[in-house]
Amino acid sequence: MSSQSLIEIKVQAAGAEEFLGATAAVQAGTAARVRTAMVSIFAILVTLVAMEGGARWMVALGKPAMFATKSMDAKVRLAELSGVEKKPRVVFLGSSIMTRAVYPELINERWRNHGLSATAYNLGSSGVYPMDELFLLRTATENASTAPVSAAVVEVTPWVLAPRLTATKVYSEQFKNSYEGALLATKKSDPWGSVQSWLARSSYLVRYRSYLASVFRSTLDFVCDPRHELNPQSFKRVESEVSPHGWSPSYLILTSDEDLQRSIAEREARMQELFPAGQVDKANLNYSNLDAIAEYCNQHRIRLAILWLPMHPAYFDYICRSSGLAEDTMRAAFAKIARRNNAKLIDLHSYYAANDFADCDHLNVFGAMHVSPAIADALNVVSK
Amino acid sequence: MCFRLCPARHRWLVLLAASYIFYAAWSIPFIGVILFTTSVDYFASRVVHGSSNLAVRRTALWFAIASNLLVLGVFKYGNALLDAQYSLCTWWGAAAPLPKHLAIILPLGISYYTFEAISYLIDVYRGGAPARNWLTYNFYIMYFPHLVSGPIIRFRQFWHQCAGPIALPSLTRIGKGFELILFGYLFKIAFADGCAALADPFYSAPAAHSALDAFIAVSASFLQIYMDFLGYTQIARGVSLLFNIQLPPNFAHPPEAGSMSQFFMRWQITLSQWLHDYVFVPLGGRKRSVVRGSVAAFITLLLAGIWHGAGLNFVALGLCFGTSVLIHRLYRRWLPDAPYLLGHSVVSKCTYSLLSHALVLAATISAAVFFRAPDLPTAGLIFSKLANVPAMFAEVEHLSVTGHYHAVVLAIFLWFIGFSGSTAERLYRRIYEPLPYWLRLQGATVAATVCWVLAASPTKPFIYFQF
Repeated sequence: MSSQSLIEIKVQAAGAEEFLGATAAVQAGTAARVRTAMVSIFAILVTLVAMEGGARWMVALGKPAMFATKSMDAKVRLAELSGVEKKPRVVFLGSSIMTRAVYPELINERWRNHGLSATAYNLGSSGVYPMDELFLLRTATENASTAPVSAAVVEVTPWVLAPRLTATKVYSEQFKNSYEGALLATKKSDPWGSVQSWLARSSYLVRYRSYLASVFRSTLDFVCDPRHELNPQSFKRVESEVSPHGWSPSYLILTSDEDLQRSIAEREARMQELFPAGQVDKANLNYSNLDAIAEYCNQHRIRLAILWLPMHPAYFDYICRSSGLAEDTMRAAFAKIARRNNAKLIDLHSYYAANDFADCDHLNVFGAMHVSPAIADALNVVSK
Repeated sequence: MCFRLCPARHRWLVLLAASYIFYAAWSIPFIGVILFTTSVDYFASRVVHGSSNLAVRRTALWFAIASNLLVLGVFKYGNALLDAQYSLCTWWGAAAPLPKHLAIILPLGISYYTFEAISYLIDVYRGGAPARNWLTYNFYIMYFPHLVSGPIIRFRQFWHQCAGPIALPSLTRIGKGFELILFGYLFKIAFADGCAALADPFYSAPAAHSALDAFIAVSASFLQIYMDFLGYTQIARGVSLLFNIQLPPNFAHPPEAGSMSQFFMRWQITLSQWLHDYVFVPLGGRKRSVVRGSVAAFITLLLAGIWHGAGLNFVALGLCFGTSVLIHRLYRRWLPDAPYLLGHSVVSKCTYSLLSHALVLAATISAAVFFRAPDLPTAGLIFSKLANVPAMFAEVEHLSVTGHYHAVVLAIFLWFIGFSGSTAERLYRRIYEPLPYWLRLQGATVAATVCWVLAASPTKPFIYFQF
């Protein structure tokens, strides 16, 4: 081999080394970046897995509700099980006001005495929105193996008239954030909906996110205000058993003005939110909050009634003052809702005695026993 | 993505467009208000800079400042003034010429960008360089991370970073930005909203709560305001860092201040600096005369209180600020040996320090009451409960009998949170920052997941958005 060609080879080799050296440096930089990225992803995944484990542990300890609340869990099961009844069913839908006020066993007894063939079920649950009530109605209807739902009775309160209450056209936050609610909300066919649905089924962090947040808030609440336990009416903490047909009686009697004022004060924030002072337009009241339920009833040939239950007169006066709506205005508005939805209005707003209230807007056991026969009589026609 | 792909010298235009989109998402018509004020300000600044005639310069300056303040006054204080004229006419027995109330919506960030506009105009008057063109000035005002609630940044500080090509931020800076956003969100959602859960039920019905409830709720409301605003500021600074623009910090652990003067050097630092440079100093605050300086400080802080809102409770807030600083200035001037009144020992110094902090605590609690209470009578009711110390001690005694110390522990814990800011920061720098990147990433993942879980509960809007 000639010397020139050797030199050429050496130069070429030197160039190749340089080239290879530069490539090696680039490759080392790229390798470091890839390593960093891999370690980062691994660190994030390990942390998420650990947090998922923590979430599962907290859920296992706390046993949260499947639906919005444990009360709603019970009512959903009742709606399903009552389908094996032998007689047509009349379901009562509403919030905790309905849960406390309607004594279905008394109603059923009265109907039996009058020869009526129907069974009442109280599917009221605390904090529900009309769409949550519709969910319960749908559950009762779809699980009717022998007993169809012949009538639905829906509670109305002044809140349903609030112009701002457009949220009643959607599920309540507590329902949307529950296990079943999260699954219901993610039942979509699009790819992102499928991913959400998969995440809701697989991960406790996703499924019980709202429950975990509520654990934090309730811990804070417990630390901050232990005097809940020292409440003068500490027997308020006693939860009554739900009757076979869904009644949750309250065994309190509201006698002191202090307790009345406290229970009104607890509702003040909601009042301010729904009826901000000086901004309620009587011409713009909301009449459409029960439209979805009415439409469903219409499609399934379920008769509809709306029920206006009594409230403590002092609290009702407070609502009238805060909202700027007189009693007659509310009555006319409820009558309009009833006409609009082809429903019967059962106005028992003034049907109470002195000791019928557990707090400013819930009837106690005496109130329920007082008002339920009147409901039974009013529904005689509906339930036939 | 647009920011990354755009040439460096045009990146500020991308940010300007993003700022307009950000504002338009809230309201398109109110962009007109900003366009009007920025046009007036820019053209006035050109006149101020270009003219050598002092009278012309002053006229242009005052015209622009007056128009900014007029716009702010109409939107922020319009309804209060209408209500006042209506009440006055009713009392006089005459028909009110103007309506009692109008549906006036406060433009987003007006209080902050008005102050920035005024600082720009005065700086140009004092010899500073004006904006190159109307667009650059518009960018300074509209830059979205700081538009809504500050921090209030001076034009020269801001444009110094944007005058040339805006480089892409380094990975370290991006990491720092995300960290600030995460911490900000954590302060807001864990601390501020947690404190709100204590404070809100009390303020909605103060008459139904006890003296101890009042103390806990007011302490919680002060911490809520602090953590809420601190959280927002951190988020704003973090977002800005992602675009390689630094915004100044706005807080330096204010609860740890040993005096009210020190408190205002640590609380809303940029606003305090603005008030110092453009109100306090022109009022003669730097003169040797103690009386003149104290009066200037009092007026400055009174205006600071009124800036917060149109109600009498905000006037009281300003009076509270002003009085507390006035007292501090006077006693510092006339009792220079006050720190040594109790002696020179360590115990004496600690006792003096404790007393100073207690006084700051009292003043900040008073300010928090005026800030949160809807009106003066409610504030008065709250103060009457706070002043009922025997009832408070009786409640604590009752709790100790039952073994439920939680309320007392909570009150101490709330103030511990407030006082531990600088310690937490020191620990963060000494222990957390030197950690390997993957460990810090894990910490960030935990924090982000906690924020995401807590966001499942309804969160409250940022308090200072209403200003």
